Amino acid sequence: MQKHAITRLVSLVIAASLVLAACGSGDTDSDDTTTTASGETGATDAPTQPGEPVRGISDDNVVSVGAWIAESGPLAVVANIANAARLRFDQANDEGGVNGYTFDFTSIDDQSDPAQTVNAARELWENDEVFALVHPYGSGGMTAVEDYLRENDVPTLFPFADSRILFSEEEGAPDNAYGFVPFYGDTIRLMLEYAVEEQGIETLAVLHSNDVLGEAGPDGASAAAPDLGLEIVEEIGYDAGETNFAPLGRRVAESDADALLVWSFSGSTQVIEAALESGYEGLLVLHDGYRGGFFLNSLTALPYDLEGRAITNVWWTPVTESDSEVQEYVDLFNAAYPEGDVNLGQSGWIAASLFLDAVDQTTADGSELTWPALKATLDSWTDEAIAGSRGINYTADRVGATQGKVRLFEDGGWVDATDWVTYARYTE
Amino acid sequence: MSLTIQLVVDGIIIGAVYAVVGLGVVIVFRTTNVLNFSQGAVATIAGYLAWNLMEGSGLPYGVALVVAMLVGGLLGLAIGALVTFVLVRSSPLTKSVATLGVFLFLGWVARRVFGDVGQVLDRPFAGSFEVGGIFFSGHGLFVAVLAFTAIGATFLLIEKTRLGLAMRALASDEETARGHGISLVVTSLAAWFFASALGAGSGVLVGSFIQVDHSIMNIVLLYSIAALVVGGFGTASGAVVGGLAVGIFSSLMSGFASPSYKNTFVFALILAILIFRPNGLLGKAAITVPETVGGEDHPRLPRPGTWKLPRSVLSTAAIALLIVAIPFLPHPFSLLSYSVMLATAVVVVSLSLLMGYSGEISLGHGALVTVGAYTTALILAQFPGTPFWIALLASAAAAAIVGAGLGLVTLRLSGIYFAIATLALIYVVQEVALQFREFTGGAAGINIGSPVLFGDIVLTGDRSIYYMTAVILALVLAAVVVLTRSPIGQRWTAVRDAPIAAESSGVSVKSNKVSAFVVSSAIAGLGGSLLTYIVTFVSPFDYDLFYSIFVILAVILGGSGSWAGAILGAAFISLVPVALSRSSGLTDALFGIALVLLLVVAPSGLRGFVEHRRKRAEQRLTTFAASQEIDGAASEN
Repeated sequence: MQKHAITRLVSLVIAASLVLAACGSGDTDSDDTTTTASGETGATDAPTQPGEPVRGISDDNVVSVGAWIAESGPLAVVANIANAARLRFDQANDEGGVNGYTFDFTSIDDQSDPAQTVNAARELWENDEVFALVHPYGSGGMTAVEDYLRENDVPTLFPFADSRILFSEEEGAPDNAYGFVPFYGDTIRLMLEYAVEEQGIETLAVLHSNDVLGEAGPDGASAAAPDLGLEIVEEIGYDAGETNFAPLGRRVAESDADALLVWSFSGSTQVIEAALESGYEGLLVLHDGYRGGFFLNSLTALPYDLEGRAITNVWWTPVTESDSEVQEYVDLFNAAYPEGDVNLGQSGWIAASLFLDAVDQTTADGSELTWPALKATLDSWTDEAIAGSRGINYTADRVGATQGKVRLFEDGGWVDATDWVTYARYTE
Repeated sequence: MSLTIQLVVDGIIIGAVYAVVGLGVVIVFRTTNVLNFSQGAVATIAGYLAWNLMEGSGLPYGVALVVAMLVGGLLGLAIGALVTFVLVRSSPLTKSVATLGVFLFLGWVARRVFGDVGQVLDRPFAGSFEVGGIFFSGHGLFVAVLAFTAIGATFLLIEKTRLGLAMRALASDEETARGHGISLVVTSLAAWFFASALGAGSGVLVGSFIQVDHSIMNIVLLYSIAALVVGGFGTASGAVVGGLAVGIFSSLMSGFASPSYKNTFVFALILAILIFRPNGLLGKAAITVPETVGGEDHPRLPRPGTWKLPRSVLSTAAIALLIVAIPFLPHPFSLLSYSVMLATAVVVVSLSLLMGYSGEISLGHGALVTVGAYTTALILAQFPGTPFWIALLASAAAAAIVGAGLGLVTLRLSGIYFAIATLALIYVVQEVALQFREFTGGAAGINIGSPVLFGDIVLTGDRSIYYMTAVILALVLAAVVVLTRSPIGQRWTAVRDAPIAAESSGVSVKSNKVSAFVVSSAIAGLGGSLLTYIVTFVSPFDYDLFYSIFVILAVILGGSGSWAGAILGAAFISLVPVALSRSSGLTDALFGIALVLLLVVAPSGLRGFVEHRRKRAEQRLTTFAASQEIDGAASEN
């Protein structure tokens, strides 16, 4: 009897699988994501009649935008970015909106889990029917959703992720993606060029974390080194969860390299300290996270004289500067989130400001806001500078950030070592 | 030579920290049999508190340390009270899982109270000095002195005080100890207080030696638990020996080999030690986390034969119909999420099988899922258009091979030693995926396309993927039912219920344990393959230690040994976070609270809870029917 029941069960399952496979095969219509249930047009279609509904914009001109970001889990600190973006949109709404449009920003917590990132992307695009994604965060998640974004032409604005993912030279940028983060290789080249020309370095040690961000370090250094006549004498990768940094520091000291490129967020100051403890005396070449906030504070707290011995780079004006636009953000953020990280959140504020600026430029003459119209505005940007951002240019490629500057550690902070410099790839 | 000495010195310092953290774990475990996952969160809160006291109130380091330890101790007391009084009817395994919920909640509290930014505590002794070519960090030495002082104080407590005597008595023979008037409650709570105070102190030490943030103490805790296994889990001296051994070895590996492979080397060392010393260097007997306390309300590992055919065809058909109908009904979650749930249920089934028939818990199941996931991704990268069922089978085979290898290596291990040995697999698989970038994409991972049924028939769209996953889950469940009734399953049952009798009848306990692990691994690999098809992506970090722990959680929550339990458990761990994803950062807090509440209300899991309610309802119905009959007979008379 049991055997008979098992046989029936298995047979039923096999039959069901064949039937369902037949139903499901080649199925593309059941999940058509470019047409909503209400019949609104997709992002790539402009309304053909005035007053026709535009995807992501309500009848009373509320523009719905969204992003995924880690708001819990080990990377929850980046929630500051979403908070800053929300703050900017709220500010715009409080001021009466932009040319009649107000904004609704939705963030979904993906816990840095790619499976949840994919879900969050679909939620925002298919359920929330957002007008655009603004500043979604995370390289791991972006890799997971890249195909989805491409296949569905999802407007993806100013993502905070390694630009090699969405804007790779092999595949090219998705039609509706506009970047914000320069290629890390470009920022590394900029710093190494300065180090070679101004500080005469000839050998380089590279220390990086074994994650998507960290891998950009040795990749960028390897690409730039031959052109600059640099020799990479040591490359040390370590896990993001490292707790014992002393041996890494010993190896750096033993390498006796003229400069040390540190490309990681996790444990970077600890490993720098370990190197200094071991007597390392070369130049420190640091990622942009050291522009301010926790990283800068941790660097200045080290009991070692780093005057003129450390450089970093920025591609927007950091919160430590007295720029009025930037200070406006600092004051508002600190008031709203006194325990938050104003330095880390700044990119969210900038991204939201870029979007609002694009909306303003698109609709200033009374034109209706649609995706094609906004896209045309973005395509026209050659040197946009909003809320601290610099050199936003979408005419060459759509990476966006085309300028950076090198900063030198002096008097417990950073001073400009160079002026704003256009990255080499845009001048060749 | 000087570099070697340098690295050994560095290793002793960090090893002392591991030892202190490990001692806190040991004290609670030996007194209460609970593995305290919340210790990392308590240490984090203590570290941030100390920072606030020093920066905000200007208190000196020593005062801040003592205050932080007192607060940590009180937090531990509260957690101990929860475990002792509220979860009184739960097994130690369930209590251990509950501390995971506490960990999530406290982590959220720490962020809310202290913010997100990492901090480095002020150091009484900064800078470094050189002696004979060896560099000594001033603060490193200070931390080492404090750590060894704490170790010494702990030994004094355990060996020379009445409380320590009570703890040792309870650890060695609870019944006898209680019979001699030793209060389990008082001693347990005292252990929780002291252990948490010690853990809090370690948080301050790490905060000044490395930094305070919301993840570092969990990593230190992991290393400390690994060190405990090396030294001999459950012994204080083992914690110290293990901590120092792991600290020195990892330092040497980082210095001479590659920090990238350090975790692999450390866990390979652990495996090697356990092969020759299955109870660790100083351990005496295998330490297990008991899963039963007695009484049917206590959650158990699945009993052999509980993978039954469903009792009620009607209820089974109803659930099957619901699963089939979901895409056509209004549903609060996306089909993608439901697909992930069903694929996760496959993984839960795999672990449930292992836990049931070998009696062991695997912390490395995420690695087997990763093996399956990457096998599928690599096949598709090299041979696009490969039918999905070929990739699925290949993934299952690959995971089975890996499982067989690990199973053979860990033949002599059991309990916590087996669990830690399986943890090694997580790091090995992760490192392989990271290092072979040209094939695996490194940290960036691999994207794949839609699954191919055969030929040109491609399964596109969420609905197709959903049904594909549901069918695979159904086939896996059917296979498990058949397997557990086959000669293999019968041998597993015999080994599980009466290992000595089985051995004397010619049934090899070890080879059957390995075969259970192999089958479990194959199913886990299948789950990994499904997840890759659903998410269309895999990276080295997707199915890490926390994923493995959550799968264990799903087995316990859902109630093991049943397909409904597997789906319920999978639903909890995969859908609840999605449901909370718009809660503006409240996910951890709400999930942690939900987890603890669930364990309080349903200590035998969700399925057991439903089953219990059903039985009670049946009893009431029977009683009512009987009383009606009696009344009827009486009225006739």
